[in-house]
Amino acid sequence: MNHDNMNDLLALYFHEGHNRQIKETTEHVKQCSICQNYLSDIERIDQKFNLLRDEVPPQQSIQLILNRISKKEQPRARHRFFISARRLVPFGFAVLGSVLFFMLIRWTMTVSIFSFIHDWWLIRSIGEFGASALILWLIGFMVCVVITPVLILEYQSQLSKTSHTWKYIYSK
Amino acid sequence: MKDHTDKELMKLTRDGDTQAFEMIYQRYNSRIYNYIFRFTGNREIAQDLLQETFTRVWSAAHTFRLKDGNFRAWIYKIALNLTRSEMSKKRYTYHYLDITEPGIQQSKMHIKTNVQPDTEFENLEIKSALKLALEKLKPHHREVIIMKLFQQLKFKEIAQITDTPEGTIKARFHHAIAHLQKYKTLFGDE
Repeated sequence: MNHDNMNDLLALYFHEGHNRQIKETTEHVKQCSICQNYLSDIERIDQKFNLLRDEVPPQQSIQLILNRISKKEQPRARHRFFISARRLVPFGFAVLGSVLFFMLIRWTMTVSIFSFIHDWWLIRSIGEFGASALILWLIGFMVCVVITPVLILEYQSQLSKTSHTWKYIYSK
Repeated sequence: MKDHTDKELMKLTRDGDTQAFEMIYQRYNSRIYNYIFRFTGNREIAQDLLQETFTRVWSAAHTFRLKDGNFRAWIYKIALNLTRSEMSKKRYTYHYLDITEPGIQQSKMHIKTNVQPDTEFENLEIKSALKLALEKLKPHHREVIIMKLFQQLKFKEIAQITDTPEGTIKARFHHAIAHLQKYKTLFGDE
């Protein structure tokens, strides 16, 4: 861990991280005075706010609430299907798209210029359906190859934002 | 009924069981009241919004997802939405100050000066100054500080309640801490 990632310090202070992460951060904090100072700042603020004790809500509140709800009829829960329609829509689109794609491949095979594909050993062994699936898989693979660098860059920019926050705090 | 989980109680509440509803109230009324009170700084408004929150729990019980819902996050979300909408009203354009709080005027001076408190009265002043420091935070920062330091919610839960990514919540927490560090008299070395 380096102290650019200050969220690790929160994981350590509030015990919300994985054991390994907490162990690594603990080791780092032992040697890093900047992180030690930041942790003691959080601790000091936390302790001071503990001076503000919780207040007790008025006792009559529950009676007032019960009076209110007695006048209202509680809406009944609607019966739901095992899967919501919103989740079914993309699934339906995927099925429809696959069927259309399969039909497109079949049609392509009937075009005379592609007739040689019929005799190709791969098509003969995996069939038209297999060929469609293979093409779909290749498209998916290509999409992944294109998206991966974008995701990596996005992740790095997120890290640099955290680092920026850290500099912001210590520039004060 | 005391051994029932929140979800079991919500299931009963959904079927119109007021005893289960009262049990939920007993479990959460203090937390929700203090949560709203820290936001608004006014007891009467906190009391009103507490009642409104639990009335909504009753009337919207059918919308709670029993299977995979997190009741604590759900009820806090209701309270947060009500508080936000209350605070967005025109009369809160300026920071709300509860005039019944003792020592609130003195606390303004306390933040600016470097007086070391050592008496009971000054302890009261510190509390007022703490409230004021909290009030000076930006609303999003204040939300995170209240939920984290007063309510001891996890960052994950705060993210769920506010519909904000966990990373953003943590960044807001850091910014709030940075802002509070400015009050050296309050939060400086003892």
